[in-house]
Amino acid sequence: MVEDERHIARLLEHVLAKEGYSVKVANTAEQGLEIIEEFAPDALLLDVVLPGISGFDMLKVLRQKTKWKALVVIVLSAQWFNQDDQALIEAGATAQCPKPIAPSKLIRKLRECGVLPIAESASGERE
Amino acid sequence: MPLNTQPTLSQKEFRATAERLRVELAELDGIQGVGMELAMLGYDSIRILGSPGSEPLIFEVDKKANILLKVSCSPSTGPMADCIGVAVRSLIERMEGERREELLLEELGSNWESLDAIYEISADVLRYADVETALERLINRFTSLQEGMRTALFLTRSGRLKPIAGDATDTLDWVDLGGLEKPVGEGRAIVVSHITAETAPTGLAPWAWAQQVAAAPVTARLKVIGFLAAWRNDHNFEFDAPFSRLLEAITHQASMLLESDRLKRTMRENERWAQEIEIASSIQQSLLFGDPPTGLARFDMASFSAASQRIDGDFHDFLRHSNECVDVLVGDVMGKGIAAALLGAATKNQFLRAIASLAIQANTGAPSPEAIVNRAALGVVDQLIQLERFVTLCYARFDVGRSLLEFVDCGHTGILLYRKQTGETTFLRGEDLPIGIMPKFSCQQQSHRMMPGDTYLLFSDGVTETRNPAGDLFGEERLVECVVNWSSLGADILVDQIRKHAAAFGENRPQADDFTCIAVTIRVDEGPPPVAVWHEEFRCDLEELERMRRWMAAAATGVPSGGLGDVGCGQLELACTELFVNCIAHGDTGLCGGPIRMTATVYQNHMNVELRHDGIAFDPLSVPPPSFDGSRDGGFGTYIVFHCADELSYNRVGDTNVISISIIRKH
Repeated sequence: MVEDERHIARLLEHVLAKEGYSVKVANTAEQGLEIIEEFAPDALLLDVVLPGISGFDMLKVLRQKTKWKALVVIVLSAQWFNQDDQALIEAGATAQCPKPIAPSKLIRKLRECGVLPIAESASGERE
Repeated sequence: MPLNTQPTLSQKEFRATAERLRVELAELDGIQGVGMELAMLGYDSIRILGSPGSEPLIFEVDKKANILLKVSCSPSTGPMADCIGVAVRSLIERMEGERREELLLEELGSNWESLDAIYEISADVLRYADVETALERLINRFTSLQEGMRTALFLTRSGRLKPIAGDATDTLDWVDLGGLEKPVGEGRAIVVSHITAETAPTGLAPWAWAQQVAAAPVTARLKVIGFLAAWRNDHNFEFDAPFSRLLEAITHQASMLLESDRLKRTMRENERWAQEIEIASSIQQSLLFGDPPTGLARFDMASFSAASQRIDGDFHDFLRHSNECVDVLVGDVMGKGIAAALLGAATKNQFLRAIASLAIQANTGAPSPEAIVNRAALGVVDQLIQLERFVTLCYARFDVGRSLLEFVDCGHTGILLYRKQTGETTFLRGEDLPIGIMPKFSCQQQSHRMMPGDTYLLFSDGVTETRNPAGDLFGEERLVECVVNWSSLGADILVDQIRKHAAAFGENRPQADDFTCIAVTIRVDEGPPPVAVWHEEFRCDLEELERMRRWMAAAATGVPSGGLGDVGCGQLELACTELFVNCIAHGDTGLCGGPIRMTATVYQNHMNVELRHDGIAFDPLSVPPPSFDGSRDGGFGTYIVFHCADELSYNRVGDTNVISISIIRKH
């Protein structure tokens, strides 16, 4: 998750961990790009407004790499950015989750994108 | 250590806590041989590692959960024991901190969930056509936020509380609510815990057996019109402050939905009224406003009527007795609206009936205007008095055969006369009261001698009472100015110019009143055939101007009995000079260039002059009036012609522009 607002990051981390996801948090786009390489996530939750490189630009950089072309990217944006939906999709976002983010909605969105908690995906693999 | 309450940790959480302690303690450097036993009321204690020492150190891990931790070491005193004590206390504090943070995050998550639900509901409910469905959707969404919660929305209908959505089925009275009615009725949210005999609601209230109920009022325009209640039947549950805020937010949503629904219904009602008014307005146009007669050789008549945005009571009509005699009726019912329009139609109808019945009785031509007005008034005066309304009107008969204007003016605006021959303007007014003021109505006819070239203007007060944004009235002076400036161009152009000037004065804002304007111009009587006709052709050149003037002056001397007079001759020379120069001035632009052919036709008391020139169509009547403040060039030439000529007309014949003017003898 790339989110510069620490309390939002903490809340979402808590919600996702409780649901069974393993989460790494970065507060800037640069940090996010490093963590992605180390952590190799199944999904990226990306805030649009970030200090320095914006989430929008980070997404474009990410999609240029073959390795991350198929990565599920859910963009976290404020309600009033809705008009940019099309631009975000064109930039490579898989889905968008408007702020304020209802925990249940975020989890539902992840599941819709095929990103399951570790326990479930592991049992799925075993099956 | 008292352990007198039920455990709040699940077995799973309890074991997780134990495991966490074990791991953390095991990681402490230099601590070995430590035994640990975790106990919680209701569960077996868990021995984690090592063996218990002789003197266990006891800590409370979680006061709320009643967990006891026994840590033993050997020896139980000394530096090692102190060290373990510090480590365990620090660990417990950290765990308590984490737990507090977790609770905060849970609450935050739940608040965000609520916030999102409110956003979602706000966007969602707008899609529903009816408010009941939207309210049901709102309450269902709210109920789904908390497992085990039950809700009910009640709204006041005919003084009783009707269940609208949620888990309620019975209609209640406020007194049934047991403790909720006072605060909710005062517009406050409340949570009632531990319902007692005093606060117990009747068995009808669905929360009658609940441990706790929360309620918040639904308001509309500062009045409580219902409430939303939420309750749970399970024990050990408390509605907290964030929940109360959420409940209030949801009731605000419900209030907004109801208010929005009320506004929508009001808007629909207004739209329906607007449509009806539009229909009524078009009916008013056809019922109340007659068209002037056409094809009259000795009259030029035109009318303009524009209803204000509302339905008003102005009316007018024309009655043609012969080609030389026409009656004009103009009236206004006091007050606005459909009632005024209906009274206008009824009054007009009475006039038609009066004319018909008097004509049948007399069997000798048209009854007098006085008789018509008196008879028509008889049919409406009682009703008008009963309705506390009155009608002002002017009934005028223009009889060019007798050169006589006969009219009755019952408190109307009078008739504005502009006599071209003398340049005088007069308001002709009667002294009769409007119909509907006195029960016994009686009017007196006025007579006035008409002259050729006279212009008569009948109008409604909407014309003179047009206001500009500063609140000034258009007034009679501006109206007179319009008539003087534009009457020579014909009745049609005159009424159109009055409309334009009044609209410009009012800065094109919607009219506050009906606007009615009727112009009647008595054509110049050509009388016997001309005494002489002069033809001449001039080159399109300024050098020809002097020759044209001499030719024109010579022709004017042919008017019998001393010619056109000094004033008339001066007007003739000025008008012809301007028209001639105008042709030359436009020669370079392709408007003219060929010869200017002129014809002067001399009559007994007036003279007509016609100019013909080939070129692009150029209608001097279309030239806007000049700007006297210097803000715009041009228009002065045609302005002079308008003022000098008693009549002016323009025709386009093939590629030829034909301009005619008429000058009456003036002394």
